[in-house]
Amino acid sequence: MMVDFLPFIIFLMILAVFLRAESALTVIYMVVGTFLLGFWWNKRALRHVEVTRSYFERAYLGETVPVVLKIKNKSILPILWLEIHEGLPVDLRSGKGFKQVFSLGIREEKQIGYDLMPRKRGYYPLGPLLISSGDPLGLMQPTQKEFPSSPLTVYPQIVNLTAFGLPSRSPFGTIKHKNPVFEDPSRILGKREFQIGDSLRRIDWKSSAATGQLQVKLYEASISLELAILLDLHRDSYTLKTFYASTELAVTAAASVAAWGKTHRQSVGLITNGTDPHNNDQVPPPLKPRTGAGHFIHILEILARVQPGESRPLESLLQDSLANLSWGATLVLISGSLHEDMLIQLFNARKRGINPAIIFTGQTPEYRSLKNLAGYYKIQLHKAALPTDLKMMGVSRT
Amino acid sequence: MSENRNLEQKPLPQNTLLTLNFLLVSVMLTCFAFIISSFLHIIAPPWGLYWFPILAFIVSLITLIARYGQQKTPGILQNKALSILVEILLIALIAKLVSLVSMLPRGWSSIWVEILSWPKDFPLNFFDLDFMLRSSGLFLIWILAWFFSLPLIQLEEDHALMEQEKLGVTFTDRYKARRSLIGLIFSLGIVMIILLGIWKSSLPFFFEEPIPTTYLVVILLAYFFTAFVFLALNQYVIMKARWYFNDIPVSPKLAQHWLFYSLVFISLVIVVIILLPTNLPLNFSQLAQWLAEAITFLVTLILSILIAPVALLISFLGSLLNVEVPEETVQRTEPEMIEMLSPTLITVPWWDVVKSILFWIVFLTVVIFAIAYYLRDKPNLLGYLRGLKVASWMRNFWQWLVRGFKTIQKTAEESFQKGIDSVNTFLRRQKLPLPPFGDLAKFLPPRQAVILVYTDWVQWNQQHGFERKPSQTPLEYAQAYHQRLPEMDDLIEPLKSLTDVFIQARYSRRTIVKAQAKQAQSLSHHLKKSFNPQDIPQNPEEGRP
Repeated sequence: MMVDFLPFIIFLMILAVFLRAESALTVIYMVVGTFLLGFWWNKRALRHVEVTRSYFERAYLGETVPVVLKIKNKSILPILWLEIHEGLPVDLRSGKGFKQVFSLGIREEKQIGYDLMPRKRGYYPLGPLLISSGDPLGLMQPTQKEFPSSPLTVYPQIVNLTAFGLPSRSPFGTIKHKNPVFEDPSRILGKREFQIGDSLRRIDWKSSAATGQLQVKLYEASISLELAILLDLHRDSYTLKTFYASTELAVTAAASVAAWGKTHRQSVGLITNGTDPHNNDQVPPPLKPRTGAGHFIHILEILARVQPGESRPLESLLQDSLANLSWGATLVLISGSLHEDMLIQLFNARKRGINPAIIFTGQTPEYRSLKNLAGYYKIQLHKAALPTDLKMMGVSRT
Repeated sequence: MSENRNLEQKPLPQNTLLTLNFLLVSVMLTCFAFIISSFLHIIAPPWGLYWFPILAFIVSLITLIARYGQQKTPGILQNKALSILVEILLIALIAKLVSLVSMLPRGWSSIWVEILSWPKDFPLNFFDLDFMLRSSGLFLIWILAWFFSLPLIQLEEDHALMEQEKLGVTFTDRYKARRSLIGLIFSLGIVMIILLGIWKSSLPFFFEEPIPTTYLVVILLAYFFTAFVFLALNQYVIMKARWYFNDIPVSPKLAQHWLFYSLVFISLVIVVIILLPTNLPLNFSQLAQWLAEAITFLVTLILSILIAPVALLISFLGSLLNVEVPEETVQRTEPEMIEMLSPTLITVPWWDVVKSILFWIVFLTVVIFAIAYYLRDKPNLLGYLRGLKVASWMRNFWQWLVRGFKTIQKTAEESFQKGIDSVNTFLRRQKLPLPPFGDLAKFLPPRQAVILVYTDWVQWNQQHGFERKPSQTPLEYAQAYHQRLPEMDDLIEPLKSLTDVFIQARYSRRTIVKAQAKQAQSLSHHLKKSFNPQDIPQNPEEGRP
């Protein structure tokens, strides 16, 4: 540090003044020049350093995410040593944060990389990246510069429900898929040979004449089955003992159902009372049922970020959700427990043409009585205490 | 997470770095030995400089290696007393051998004579002045190398020790070791500077011929250059240790880059300082005196200028009242400082004065900065100083000065503002007449004249209650004008002509001739003459027939 040199500098100056020796003056110039140049270098070095972080901003659980840091010195002033320290969340890294030391020449660019292995869904900040540098003699305190963090969204775990033998287009098989109301005659999907039971109106006479066999038109579903996922993440809905595991399982269940809907080209929506840290811990607005990969990714992003909260109880959420659903829609309620009144609400909704289904995650003390009651109201009810149960849930349906 | 894909921890160039450090210390001690031997040569001319710097280099290098060996390798070197004895004997032997070799120019016989004289009176013949001086010098170098070796070994990058240190078993204060090295380096440097200062200032009294010191200054610079490179490498070692303890991987090329950039950095400083002046004509007291004189002169000059009108007025009044002003009083107003200053100003060239001023400004700034930095680093001392009564008095005095200065500044600003306001008010009251545009237009090119005439007409209308909106085009304005004065049909033609000629002048590239300018002027004049402000209705709709 500079303070180590100070007594000598002062003494040298006194010598220079009293002796008026050019040698003393020369040494003073040298020492002061070294200080000034070191000071200037220290201050200027990091001003023209540019850092870019390249990576895929979305990742699936367990997937390796390569991150590349491009550090460029845009100045003609070389950087003797550059210490970088990338702050990383615990759930993304195995050891300590990413740190490294190297030097950067004139207008030199360096690429360094590291891999992340997300172990938990979430919305993580990568960074901030702290860089520091100093002069060769260590005369000044190293200067520091901070670069802002950038987000990484880790999607929740998805269980392939279809693989476990789900019988129909609906995950819980309550709506018959032959309902003509879902087909749009203006959108021809393809053609196939006539089978007994096909309506005569579906026969394509031109292609039948061309092929010599009766051909029927296949139409696209213009009004797809609406699948609304109601994810309850209210703290009171889960037992404290298995709170963390149960809520995570609920999110996994929601993501799996959404993925099933996407695979079957169904409109999928999401309603939740959890909080979104990306949106100032507010409850995310309900996502209306829609199709498409973009919408599905949007649902996954919300499911990646959403955290248990206390802002809105399930009762009011259920009321609003049921009021906004159209006829024929399926409502999958995922929660830790349920009040009997809500079963009655769901039963009333069923009478209005909505198909409710319930998935309990974690430990539900009143499961047996609730199951009996749900059976009475002809509402499907499933339970998953572990991820394996979630997978078996599909199996049990076959 | 698999971190640090790009960097692999390679074995550190420990030996290279250590060897480099040993070499740098040896070079520094060689420079020191060179200046010492040069100084001794002046004091005792018979003693030659034969090989002394080279010997100093060898002795210091061997000493450093021996100290390092003692620390690291078990064996015979572990016996410190024996090792020291052997080293002393070796140094004495080398010193004597060199003394003998230095006799070679006089022939082999002189060496034999010297050797044969030893049995006669051994202490006197063996321990002669040349041998004593050389061996003393070498012992001094040996001791200094010893001093250097202790912190240097502490700073060495020993992985086994560092691993223990990381676990908290041992602790090495590397900063303390570095401070010791800084202390040693600067102490030797100061000794060399003092020797050079004495040499330059005192010895010319004893010797008739001036002794050149330039090459010694070069040696001094070489010493500090080497020292700074050495300190840079030590800083690298300290930083490396810090990174090691924090598990931060370091680029394997960092050591090379550190050395290279340090060399460039220090070389740059050397290049800059070579260009700076070292021979200043004015010392501090002379400069302060010169500055005081210059300030007094300036103040006197300003006062004279300020007083001159008053003096003139008084003399004028005096002449009116027939009072004779004594001649002596008038003569006193001439600044005497010119005469007082003239010798200094003549003898010292202005460039040297500027250099001196710059030097002293830099000097005082550095001293103040150094003291402030030092005090900031020692909060206890700062607190003690702040607690002193003198400090509080000085603080109060300073605050009083600042308050006074602020009051003066505020008063001056207010007075200045008042003055400006009163001048503005006076000018406004005067209603200075604007020059007639018609006259101005005569001197302008036709295009500018047309534009000026039209603008003048618009302004005149504005003054008479018919304003032109910023959004209105000339044609719209003409239309509005006509709408306001619908009954005056005879004005339509001149209004249209004036607007057309203005549009042509302002927005087209057509040539505008003098005749058009004159026409515009006459049209404007006609419009102004025919215009009666009372004809303007309050509402545009009112004016419609």
